[in-house]
Amino acid sequence: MAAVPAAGGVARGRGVTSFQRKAAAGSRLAAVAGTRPSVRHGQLLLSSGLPSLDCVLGGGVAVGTLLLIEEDKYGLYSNLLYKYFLAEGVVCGHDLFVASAKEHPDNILKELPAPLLDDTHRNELGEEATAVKSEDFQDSMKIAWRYQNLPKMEASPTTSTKFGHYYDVSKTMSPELFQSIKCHSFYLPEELSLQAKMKTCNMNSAYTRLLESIHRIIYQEGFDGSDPQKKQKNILRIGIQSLGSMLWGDDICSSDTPEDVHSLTKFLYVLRGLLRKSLSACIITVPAHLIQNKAIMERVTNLSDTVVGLESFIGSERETNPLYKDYHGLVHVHQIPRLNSLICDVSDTKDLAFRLKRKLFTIETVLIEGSNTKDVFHFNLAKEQMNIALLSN
Amino acid sequence: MLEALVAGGAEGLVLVRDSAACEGRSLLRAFVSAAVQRAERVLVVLFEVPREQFEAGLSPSVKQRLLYRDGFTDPLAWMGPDPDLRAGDFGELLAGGLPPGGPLTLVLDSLSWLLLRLPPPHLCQALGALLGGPPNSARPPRLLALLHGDLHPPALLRALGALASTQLTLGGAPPATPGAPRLASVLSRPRRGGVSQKDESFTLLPDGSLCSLGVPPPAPEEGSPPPAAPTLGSSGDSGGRVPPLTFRLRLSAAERAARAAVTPPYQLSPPRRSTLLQTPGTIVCTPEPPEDEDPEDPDDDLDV
Repeated sequence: MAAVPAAGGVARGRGVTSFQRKAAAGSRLAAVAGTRPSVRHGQLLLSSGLPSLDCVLGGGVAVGTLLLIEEDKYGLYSNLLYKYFLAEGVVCGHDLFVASAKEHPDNILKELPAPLLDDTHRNELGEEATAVKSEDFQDSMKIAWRYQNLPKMEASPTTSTKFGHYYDVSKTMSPELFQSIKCHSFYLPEELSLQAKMKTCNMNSAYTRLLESIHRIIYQEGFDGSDPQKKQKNILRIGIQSLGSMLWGDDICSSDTPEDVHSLTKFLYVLRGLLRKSLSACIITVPAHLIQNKAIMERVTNLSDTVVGLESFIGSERETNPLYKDYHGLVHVHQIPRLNSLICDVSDTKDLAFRLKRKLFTIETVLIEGSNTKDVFHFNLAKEQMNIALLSN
Repeated sequence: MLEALVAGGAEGLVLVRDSAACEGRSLLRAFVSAAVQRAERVLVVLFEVPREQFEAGLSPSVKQRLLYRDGFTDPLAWMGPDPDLRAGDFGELLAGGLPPGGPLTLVLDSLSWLLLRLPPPHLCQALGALLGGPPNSARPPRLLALLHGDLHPPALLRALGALASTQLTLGGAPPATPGAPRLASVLSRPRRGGVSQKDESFTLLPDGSLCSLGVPPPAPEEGSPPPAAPTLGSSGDSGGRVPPLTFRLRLSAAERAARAAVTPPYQLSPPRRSTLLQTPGTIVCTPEPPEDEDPEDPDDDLDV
């Protein structure tokens, strides 16, 4: 037994060398909680709160960029992504800025999903994951060649360390978690009533008010890079709900020729400038299906960095389609930013779908029904035949 | 589902969408009398019809407990400096003037009148401020709004639908008699999450209350799409679209009889079976022709 401390002492003695590990260039940035530098382009990434979405977006959402979510028809699932983004901020200790015109931000915060941090949850989920894995192994011969080498979009929850967490949608976050973070809220009716006497309510006033508010917080709380922060650096997560809807005082949803076509694009332009200069990231949900003028939506897409569209199957004929029976909707990745490079991290597959299980919301690759070779062959054959029929017409 | 909504299940903004053919005010009255019977306070804001017309058909006990804001008599404030209600300051008047205490049901007759006079975003903001209060306040009021669907562009209707938590779209043929069954398509989005859509048929009883008849019975008219069509094709706003199917799942009685009359090809009638059995048959066996064998060795050509 005596040899053990001696050996330790020797090892310790040997450990002291003249070689000292130089601090890596990224370590200063990586010191911010809940972030990691991207392997590909070196930008600081943070998690969107949904590891499978991070995977699709090339690792995560880069700090200083804007993630735009096109709402599904009833806004159910986009709201979930919005809450995931904020919940991830709470767990990582980031500051939050929650803006909404419909729900009060305090109510939104009350309904954030609970993180799965406990060991019991992890074990439970880990068991599930290993069970799934062994099943996969047994079925590996059945899986079509097309899918055999694909990485799973959904990594098992046990592998998540600090970056990206899993949340249980069936439970809400406990209030103790909020105590350590700073949360700024922006509720449009309240803000408008504050200065209703000073200014008449014109089309732009809601957006102007929101920009002023974001600007104030970024500069007061020291999120702008120009002001050297003495304390620990932190990230500001900005979440804006249903931007462009009628409640924001914008008529792009209600008429084809809106009074002020450019108010939303102007807002996004200024917001982008604010984001680029600060340690912040923003998620915006937009009711794209309601916006009448498609040119506006294209401009909005161009002004955002990452654009993800959700298409739920509720009320559509795809709900009953056997091909999609395991899923609740499709995910369309419209745009991924090109950061420090000419190319972007495009995921290998375009067939992405989401499903909402009892606890977890996940994004997965659409596997064709049964996914054995024969079925895939028949499916492809049918597709070819359809294409030929279309061409001959 | 409709009965549950009338009985207090609906919360937030409830849109009753009617059209010129199918009036929805009587459904509004059913909601009102149900709310009064639950001992809720009901504030009716009238723009389109005078009070007497709105009250027609309500029982006296319900009538005397309704609160009114009259925007019909003097919409432009010509009769005095202190008008009861004008369109312009609608939001302020309502927000400042809601009677305190207890659950409240606010009835707008009609939202269309306001939409035609105010910019829709302003109106929606006023409604939103009315519905979403601070988190610690009491329950926000239930807002029942009558909307004439044929007066507004579909885009505006969709945008309003996105704000509503419940949408009742009245459809079908206009009722011939007061008690005739009517059709409504219900789209409900409860706060808990989830969406449910259902077509229901209902009838209004003489005392003004509502009686749900459940899912509408298939009522095929001449040349109309099969009854399966509305449920399948009701994804968009254009209700009864026929899916391009080459078959039909439901048949009318005449069609079913015609189908039953046809003899399937595999069923043999007794005389035909007997003739088939009695004819002597022969089995002809033709052997295959012998294979065309090549005696030559194919490897002979190779120079090995």
